[in-house]
Amino acid sequence: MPLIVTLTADDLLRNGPILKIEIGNPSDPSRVARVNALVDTGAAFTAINPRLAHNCGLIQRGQKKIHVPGNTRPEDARAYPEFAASLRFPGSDLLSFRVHGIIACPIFETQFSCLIGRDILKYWELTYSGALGQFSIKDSRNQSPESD
Amino acid sequence: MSGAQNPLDRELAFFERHKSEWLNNHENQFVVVAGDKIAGFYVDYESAWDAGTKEFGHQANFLIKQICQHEPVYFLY
Repeated sequence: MPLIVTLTADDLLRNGPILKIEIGNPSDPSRVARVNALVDTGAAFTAINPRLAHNCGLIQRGQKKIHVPGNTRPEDARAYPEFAASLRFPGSDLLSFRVHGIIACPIFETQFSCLIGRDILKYWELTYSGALGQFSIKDSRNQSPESD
Repeated sequence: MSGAQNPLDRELAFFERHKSEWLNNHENQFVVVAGDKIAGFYVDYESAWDAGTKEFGHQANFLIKQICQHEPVYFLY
């Protein structure tokens, strides 16, 4: 069943498509944080606030070169740490990710601590209706290796 | 890495030294490296993480990195 979120058109315009996400330590299921995440088709990868990575005790497993807002030249891209994390979507039927690489990037500190990028969106069908103030997400996976 | 020392510097250096030889048979796969020890090549991140934790332990430093001809640059907007 798809996750359907209905707001007012104004709220969706102001805040964007936001949903609850649980970010956890795949090596320690007790270390988990539930935060708001913005579904962001402009983000190639899912990113979190570094404070969140620290609070969950996530362990760095790599790095990725990233362009963030404010970068104007190709050489402005910087390497940001990549952490292994588990991702769950409470209150929905969306399948979780047991282990997924996410970037820690201090570019957002406000109403959401996570950007859901196209690395997650490639498993979803996202429908956005600005006129209705509604968005829906359907998980396209059946029994893929990345599902629980 | 924003001035702070990267805990995976050693593994990243090892990766750069061996990337060209791995490209022949493992392009787009994920390699798992701790120090100068390899835990194998895997088709997805999750399998690579499983192998790394099994071989080196959950708390150990190990790198998971996809082998690509050119280091990709991603956009976060």
